Amino acid sequence: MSADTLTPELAVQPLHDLRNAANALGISLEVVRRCLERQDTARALDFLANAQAASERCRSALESLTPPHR
Amino acid sequence: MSRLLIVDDDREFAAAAATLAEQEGFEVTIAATLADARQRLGDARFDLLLLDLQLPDGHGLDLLHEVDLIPHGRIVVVTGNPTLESAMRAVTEPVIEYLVKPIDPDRWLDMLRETQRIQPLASDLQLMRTGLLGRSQVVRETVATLLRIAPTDASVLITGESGTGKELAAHTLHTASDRSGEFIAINCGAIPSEVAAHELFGYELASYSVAGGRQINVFDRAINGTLFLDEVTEMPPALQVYLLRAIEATAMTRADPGADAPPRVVAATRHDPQQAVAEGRLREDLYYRLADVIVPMAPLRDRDEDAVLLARAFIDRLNARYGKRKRLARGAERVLLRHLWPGNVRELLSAVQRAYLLENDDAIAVLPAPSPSDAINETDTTLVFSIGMTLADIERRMLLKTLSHFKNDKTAAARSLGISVRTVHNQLARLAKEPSGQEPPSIQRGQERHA
Repeated sequence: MSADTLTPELAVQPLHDLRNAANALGISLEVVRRCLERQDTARALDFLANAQAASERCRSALESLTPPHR
Repeated sequence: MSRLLIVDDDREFAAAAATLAEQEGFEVTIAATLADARQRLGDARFDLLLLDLQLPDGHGLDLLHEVDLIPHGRIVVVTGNPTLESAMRAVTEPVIEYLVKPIDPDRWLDMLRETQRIQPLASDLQLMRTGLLGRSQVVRETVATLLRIAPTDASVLITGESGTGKELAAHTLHTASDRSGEFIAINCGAIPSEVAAHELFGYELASYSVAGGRQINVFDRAINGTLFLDEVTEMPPALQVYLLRAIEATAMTRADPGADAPPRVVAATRHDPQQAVAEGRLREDLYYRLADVIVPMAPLRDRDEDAVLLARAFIDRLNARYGKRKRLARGAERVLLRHLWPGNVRELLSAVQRAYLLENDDAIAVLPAPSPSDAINETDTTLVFSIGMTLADIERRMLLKTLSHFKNDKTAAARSLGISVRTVHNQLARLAKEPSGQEPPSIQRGQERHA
């Protein structure tokens, strides 16, 4: 088997990463929303950064799942 | 304050989920590895465990076999990699939810709030530990109380109708107390008074020899253990004073911290103890000595849908014993929930066993036995109706009894009931289409059923 062959386990990994990242993104944004409701802007900013990191993970996982444009 | 343990190596998710939980009033601990989680679970008790399946040092479900989960509350599994294998594993574990990421924040918040709401109640794991079957709120409250007072030295008086599980509750107190001694049960209502006196306090008739020749009584036998006095209000008042003295003497003589612990006394009665005191059947001083804590056992009729759960559990046990695959018949649930079960769990068990052994079909219709008092009071021309029966039941029984009285002459029965013959036919047709898919038992068996 060549090094770039996609095994079933490897094929599942980007989907797993995407689910994890989307999960972190969704929950982080909920925290941001609730913090803003409470006018806790400092914490809202913290979790916005959290959400941004999760968003980057989402993008990366999505790129792994999407075939490159020709 | 409720306590939450999040076991997940996804830092962003764990931090956000923890913050939401903190905003809901939880005290939160985060563990990023199985090893860390193992240590945290050993150090503290958690009301909710959120467990990721893919962790850097192993599979999340392995954790459930490595730690004692009894002290902990609910377990929720969450995964970004759902597989049939892990889902199948999860259903065999005490897991209440198997969530696939991304989880809905509202679902997470609902789960947190639900945990807070049921926190004073016993968890499924705690119920399993006691052997008390049931999931109703009242049973969970009782079990939570039993487990809370089990490690203490408080005397406990368990009240409740016959068949409600008083001895099982007493046994739960004993096993959850971690007392090393024996559980000794005495039925105060069944022992002749003289024998009872010697069994409880004496050193002659029914006492037991030990190696050194000294004779021991039940208080000695239950040292470091539990002495269960069932039906204590049935004990002749003359003996009650001796019981009181024995309890107090045992407590005083073994008060030395280094000595053996005196037996924990747990008493039970099916009567109202305060009424028994008022009527002179229970000494007031003994009542106060026995009843540091009173634990009432709920009758089955007050336990929501536990009758169905219990019936299924009993059938499962019988299936295991006889190697069969019988099940509860369609429509039987309605009968189980409608009956008042005056004999409580004991009556239900008897009804299930009877149906299991007598019915040839694999689908069992569990029917309560006719009440002996009803059989006495009913005649060929009278019926006994009791509170708890529905109007539909009453109408049905009246119709069938009248038909039986008139030897199935529908015209005569209709005239007697003041309805048309067509109505009689319609009613019988309706009864034949009851949800069980069978004829009504009273038609099928030629005898009427206590409803």
